[in-house]
Amino acid sequence: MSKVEIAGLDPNAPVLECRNLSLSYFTRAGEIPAVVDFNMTVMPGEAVGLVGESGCGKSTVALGVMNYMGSTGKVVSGQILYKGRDILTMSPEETRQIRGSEIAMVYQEPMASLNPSMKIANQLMEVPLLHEDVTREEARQRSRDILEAVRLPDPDRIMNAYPHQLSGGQQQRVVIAMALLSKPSLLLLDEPTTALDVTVEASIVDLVRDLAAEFGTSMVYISHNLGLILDTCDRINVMYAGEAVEFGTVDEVFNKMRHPYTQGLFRSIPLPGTDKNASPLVPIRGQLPLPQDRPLGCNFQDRCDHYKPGWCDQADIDMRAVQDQPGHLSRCLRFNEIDWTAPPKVEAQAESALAGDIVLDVKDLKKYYEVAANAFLSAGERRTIKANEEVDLVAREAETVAIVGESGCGKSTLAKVLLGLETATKGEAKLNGQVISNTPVQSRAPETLGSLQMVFQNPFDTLNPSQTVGAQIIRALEKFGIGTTDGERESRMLDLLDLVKLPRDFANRMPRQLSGGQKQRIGIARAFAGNPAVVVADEPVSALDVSVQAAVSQLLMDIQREHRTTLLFISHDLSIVRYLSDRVVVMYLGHVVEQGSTEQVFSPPYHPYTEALLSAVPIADTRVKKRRIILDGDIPSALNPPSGCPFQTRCPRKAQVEGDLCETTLPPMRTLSDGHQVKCHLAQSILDEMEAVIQTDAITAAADEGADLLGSEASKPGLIGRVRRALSRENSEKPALGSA
Amino acid sequence: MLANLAILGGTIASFWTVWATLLGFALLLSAGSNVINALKRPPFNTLTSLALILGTAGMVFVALFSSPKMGLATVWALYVLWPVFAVLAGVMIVSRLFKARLGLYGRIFDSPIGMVGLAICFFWIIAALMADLLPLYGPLEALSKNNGTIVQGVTRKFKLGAEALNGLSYADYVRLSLADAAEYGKLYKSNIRGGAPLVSWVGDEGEKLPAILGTDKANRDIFSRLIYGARTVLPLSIGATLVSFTVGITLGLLAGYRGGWFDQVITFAANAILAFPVIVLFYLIVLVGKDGNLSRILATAIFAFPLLLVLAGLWGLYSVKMGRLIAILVVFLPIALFLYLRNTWGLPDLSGVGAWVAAIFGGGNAQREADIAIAVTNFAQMEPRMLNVFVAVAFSSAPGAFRLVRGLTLDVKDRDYVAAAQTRGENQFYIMIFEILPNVRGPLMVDAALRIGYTAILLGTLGFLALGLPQESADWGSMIAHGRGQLRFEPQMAVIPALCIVSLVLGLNLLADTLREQSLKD
Ligand SMILES: Nc1ncnc2c1ncn2[C@@H]1O[C@H](COP(=O)(O)OP(=O)(O)O)[C@@H](O)[C@H]1O
Ligand code: SF4
Ligand code: SF4
Ligand SMILES: [Mg+2]
Repeated sequence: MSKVEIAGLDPNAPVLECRNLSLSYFTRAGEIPAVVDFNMTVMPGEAVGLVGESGCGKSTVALGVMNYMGSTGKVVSGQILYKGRDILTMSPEETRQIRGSEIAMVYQEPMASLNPSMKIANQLMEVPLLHEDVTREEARQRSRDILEAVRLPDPDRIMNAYPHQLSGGQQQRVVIAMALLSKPSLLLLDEPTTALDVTVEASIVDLVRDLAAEFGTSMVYISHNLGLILDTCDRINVMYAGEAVEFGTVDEVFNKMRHPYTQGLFRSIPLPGTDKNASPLVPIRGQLPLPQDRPLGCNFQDRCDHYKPGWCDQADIDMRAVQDQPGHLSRCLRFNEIDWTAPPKVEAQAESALAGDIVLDVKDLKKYYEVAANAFLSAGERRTIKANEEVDLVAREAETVAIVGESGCGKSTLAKVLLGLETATKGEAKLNGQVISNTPVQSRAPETLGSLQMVFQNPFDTLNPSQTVGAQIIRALEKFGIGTTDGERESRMLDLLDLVKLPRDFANRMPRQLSGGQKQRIGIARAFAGNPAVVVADEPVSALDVSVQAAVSQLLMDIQREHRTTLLFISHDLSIVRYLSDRVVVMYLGHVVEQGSTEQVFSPPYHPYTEALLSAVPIADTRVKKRRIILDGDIPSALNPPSGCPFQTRCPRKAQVEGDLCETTLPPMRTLSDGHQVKCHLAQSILDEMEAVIQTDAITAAADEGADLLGSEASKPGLIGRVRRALSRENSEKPALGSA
Repeated sequence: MLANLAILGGTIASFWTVWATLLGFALLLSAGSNVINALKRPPFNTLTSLALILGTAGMVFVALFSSPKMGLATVWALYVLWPVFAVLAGVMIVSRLFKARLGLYGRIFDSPIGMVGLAICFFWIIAALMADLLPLYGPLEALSKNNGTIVQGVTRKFKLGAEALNGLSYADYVRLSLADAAEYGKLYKSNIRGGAPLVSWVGDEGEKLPAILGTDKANRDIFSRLIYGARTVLPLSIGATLVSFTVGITLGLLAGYRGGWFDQVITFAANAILAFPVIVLFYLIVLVGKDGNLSRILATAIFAFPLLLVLAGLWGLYSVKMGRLIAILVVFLPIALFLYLRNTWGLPDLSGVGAWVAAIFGGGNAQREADIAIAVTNFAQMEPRMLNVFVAVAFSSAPGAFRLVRGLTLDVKDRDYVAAAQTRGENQFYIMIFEILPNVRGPLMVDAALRIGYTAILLGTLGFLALGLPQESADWGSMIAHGRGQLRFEPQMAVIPALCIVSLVLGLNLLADTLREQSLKD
C-alpha cells in the first residue's frame, strides 16, 4: 500500500466498511459474542461516531478494525474492508504496515500509548523512521512540526520531555500527534477525552475536528457522550448489547430517532432549558444484559417501553431503513408504530423542598499543605501547596450546592477539610453552628460523623471488595452510634436498602456481584446511614453510564428531598449541575471565583472562567448554539500559583482590564446582585455586555406554551423559582447571602 | 562407579516416574474426557506431550533395565504410598468437580500447570498427615535389633544371618536379578517381622517393607525418613513463613499507611537486611548466640508481631463495642501470652508441674512417669533450636514481605473505601487490617506460596550447615548433610532428599504462578 493509491482514492468509495461483522472473545466462560452483525461505512474525510453504554462493544469494533484483538478475540464472521480490501485476509506483514501508517488509534488512557522511559522526540521520530524512508533529521523536523500542529506550546521543550513531565491533556495531544504523524487515512479514537477535564476536552475535540478537516482524515470517534459526538461527527452509530441499533446522520439520530434505546439515551441526559422538576430525567430501567444472556429477538426488550410480547422476542432483528431516509437504519421492529413525539411517562412528582436555615457555613477557609522539598531529610527547605486559598460558602437545609471546577482546583481538598480528613490551616467551617474545620475525623463525636458524610466518585472503589454490602452498612451504623443491638442495626440496614431501591437480599452480596449503579446506590445508603445533615457527593455519577446516571442522581435527589439533607454536589459536568443544583460555587486554583443561584451563574454576566467552562460543556442538542471559548494551557500548579488573579494565565478577557491589574492584584469578591458574587477586575460595563454562552432560544421558541427556562424570571413553578423566593425572603432578614 | 551412575539414573528415573504419574493424572483431570485436546492446548502441544510420554516411557525403561531393583523400588514406593495417592486423587477429583464454587482455589483447576503444582503440594501434605498410617519405619528407628541383625553399623551391609546374601550392599541389592530380589525381600521381611511392628495393616501378620532406598549411617530407613521429613519440613516452613509474614505485614501496613519517618526508618532497615549476606547472618545468629539467648531475644521480638497484629485487629474491630472486646481479651490474652512466653523464654517453667502431674497420673510406673513429666514440661513449647529457624526465616523473608505489603498499601490506601472508612471515624488499625489487608491478599498469597518454598530450601541450607534442627532430625536438609559423605558410593542418600526439596519448591512455584495468572484473569 502506498500513498499514491490513497491520493487516487475514489471520494465516493468508503475508506472503511464493516460488513456483517461478528467479533467474539473466547474465554473460560465460553464464547462471548462482543459484537454481532455489525455494519458501518466510513467515507473519506468523514467522522462517524460510535455511542453506547460501556460494554456494548464499541472498543471491540475499533480493536477489530485494527486487527488487534489479543489472544482471546476472534473475528467470527464478516468482513472489514479497508479501501476495498479485506483486512482479515491480509498477511501479518501487510496488516502491520497498515496498522502503522494507514490506520491509527488513540486510546482513552494516553499513557497506554506512550513509553514512560523514552523521550517524546524519540517516540515520535520512530513512526516515520519505521514506516517511511526518511533521515533522522527529517523525522525530527516532522515530529516537531506535528507537535506544533496539535497546538502544544513550546514544542522544543516537549520534544525533550519524558511523558510523565507532561499533563494529561498534553500527553493526549502527543498521542494524537503520534497518530497523525504517519498521515493515516483513518483515525480511530476510543474515548480520547474521557480522562480529561472539560476545558481540556473541549480544546482536544476542537483540535481533532480541525486536524481531520486539514488532513482529510476519516475518523471513527467512540464516546458515551452524545454531546461530544454532536460536536465531532457527521454520522453516528448507536450500539446496544453488541449490535448497532440505529445508524444515521447526526440530524436524523438526534432529532428523528427511530429506536427506543436512542430515545432513552436522550431522555436520560439533562439538556439546557430543563430543570429537575419541570422535566425530570427519565432513566432507562434495568441493565445491559450480559453477552451470554442476551434474549432471543430484540436485545433491548427487557428495558423497552414499546416491547410487544410475541412480536419483539421471536427472532433476531435486522437493520431496516427508515422510510424516506435511505441512510437511516434502525433495528426496531415497531419504529413505524411508535409515536416518537409522545412525552415520556413521568412518575408522580414530589413536592420540592424549601431551603431552610444555614447548616454549613464556611468562612475564609485556607488549606495549605507543607511538603518537604527534599524527601529524606525533612529538615530541609519546605514548599507550600495552596490547595484552598480563600473559600467562603454557605449551604442551607435541603439545598443543593454545586461546587464546580477543573481537577486540581481544590474541590476535593474542601471536601476533605469538611469531613475532617484534613484540618484547616486558617478560617473555619461550621456545621450547625459548631466549628468542625479544626477537628480531625478521629476526634469527632459519632453524631458529627454521622451528620456529615460523603458519596464517592468511583463505584468500583467505593465499597470494600472483601466485605458484604450489608456488613459495610452495619459497620457505618455502629460507628455513628445508631441502634443499640445488632438486630436493630440489621433492620435499619435493610431499611436503608429499601431507601436506595435495592432488593433486601443484596445485603449478603459481595460488591463484585453488583453493577456500577448498584454499588453507587450502596454508597448512598451508607452515606445516609446516620441521618446526615450534610452529604458531600464527589462526582457521584460521573463514572456511570448515562442511562444509569439519571436513575442514581434522581435517587439522590429524592432521598435528599425527603430527609431535607444539604447536598454539596461536586462536579465538573455543568449540564447535570445546572439541572439539579440550587446554587453553584465555581472554584479555580483554591479560590471561589463566582457563586450565586444556578440561574445567576448560568446566565451573564459571568466570571471569565465560568464563561469558558460553560462553553466547554458538550451539549447533545442540535438546536443549541454555543459561543466557543477555548482556554489555552493547563491549570497552573498550586505549588506555584500565579500572582494577582489566579486565572490570569489563561484568561481570554484579561486584555479588557486596564494596565497590569490582573497580574498584580488579587481581585476582590464583588457582589453583582443578590447573592451573586464574582471575583474579577472586569469593569461593570463589560460584565453588563456579556452575551449568553449557550443560546437556547431555538428550544424556547419550539417548546409549547413557553416551557420555563432557567433564567426566565417570572412565574417559575420549579424548585429553583421557589428556592429563590425562599431565599429572597431570607435575604430581607439577613443581609448578604453567600458571603454571610 | 558405573554401578553408582546406574543407581543415580535409576533414582532420578523412579522419581520422574512418580511425578510423571502425577502430571498425567492432573492432565487427565483438567481435560476431563478429552485428553488429546488438552495436550494440544498450551502449555502442551502435540510435540511436547509426545516428548513427555516418550520421555516417561524411556525413564521407566531405564529404571527397570539399568537396575531392575530400582524399578522394583519404584513399584514398592508406589505400593507403600498408594493410600496417599488415593486420598490425593479423591481431593483432586472432588475439587475439580466443584471448581466453579471454589473461588480462586477452584480456578487452579483451569490450568494443567496449576494442577500439577497443587498435586505436588497436596502429595506432600497428605503424605505428612498419613505417615503414621503407612507401612513405614519410624524416622529414628534403626533397623538393627531383630533376630540375626540385618544391618551392620555404618557399612550398611545387609546381613541376613548366615544366608547367601550376606555382605550385600545397597548397590548390590539394586543390581540383584528380580528373582533374587524377590527371594531377598522375602528373607528380609521375614527377618524384620520378628520385631514388634509399628504398623500391622499390611498383610495379616503386620509385615513391613524392605528399605526401599536403603538405610543411612545410623541404619535408619531413608524412604521412611523422607516421608516423615515432610512432617518436619512442611509445618516448619509454613509456620516460619507465616510468622515472618506477620512481621512483614505489620511493619508494611504501618509504614505504607502512616508514612513519614517510621516508613523511612523501617524501609532503610529492610533494605539493609536484604543487602546483608544471609549465610553470614545465620552464622551470626546461631553461633554468636550459642547460649541461645540471642535467638531468644530476637524471637521475643518476632513472635510479638502475630500477637500485636491480632490485638490491633481486635481493637480496631471492637473499639465500638467495649464489652465484647473485654470479653474476648479475657479469653484470648492469657492463652496468647502463655504461648508467647513458653515459646520464647520457656516461661513459666513447667518442670515442677510436670513432676507433680507425673506423680499423680504415673501410677508408680517409672517409665510412664518420666514420659508424662517430659510431655508436661515441653507442653506448648517448641524445641529451642527451632527458634533459630524462625529467627533465620524471619530475617530472610520478612524484609521482602514488608516491601511487598508496603507497596500494596501505598496503592490501596488512596482508594475511596479507605476514605469512606476514615470519614466514618475508623481508627487506623481497623483501616489497616480490615480495609487494606484483605484487599491485598491476592499478591500476598502468591508471594507466601513462593516463600514457603524458599523457606524449605533455607531449612535445607540450615540443616546442611548444621545450624538448624538437631542432627538426627528427619528434615530433608539434615538428610542431605548426612548423606553427602557417601555421595560417590551411595548418591541416593543425598540426591533424593534434594529432589524432595526440589519437588516441593517446584510445586509451590507452579502453584504461585497459576494463582497469579488466574487472579489476573476474569
Ligand atoms: N479481552 C476480552 N475478553 C473477554 N471479553 C471481553 C474482552 N474485551 C471486552 N470483552 C467483552 O466484550 C463486550 C464488549 O466490550 P467493549 O468492546 O469493551 O465495549 P465498549 O467499548 O462499548 O465499552 C463486553 O461484554 C466485554 O465484557
Ligand atoms: S423491537 Fe420491540 S423491544 Fe426492541 S426496541 Fe423495538 S419495540 Fe422495543
Ligand atoms: S481578574 Fe483579570 S485575569 Fe482574572 S478573571 Fe478577571 S479579567 Fe481575567
Ligand atoms: Mg470501551
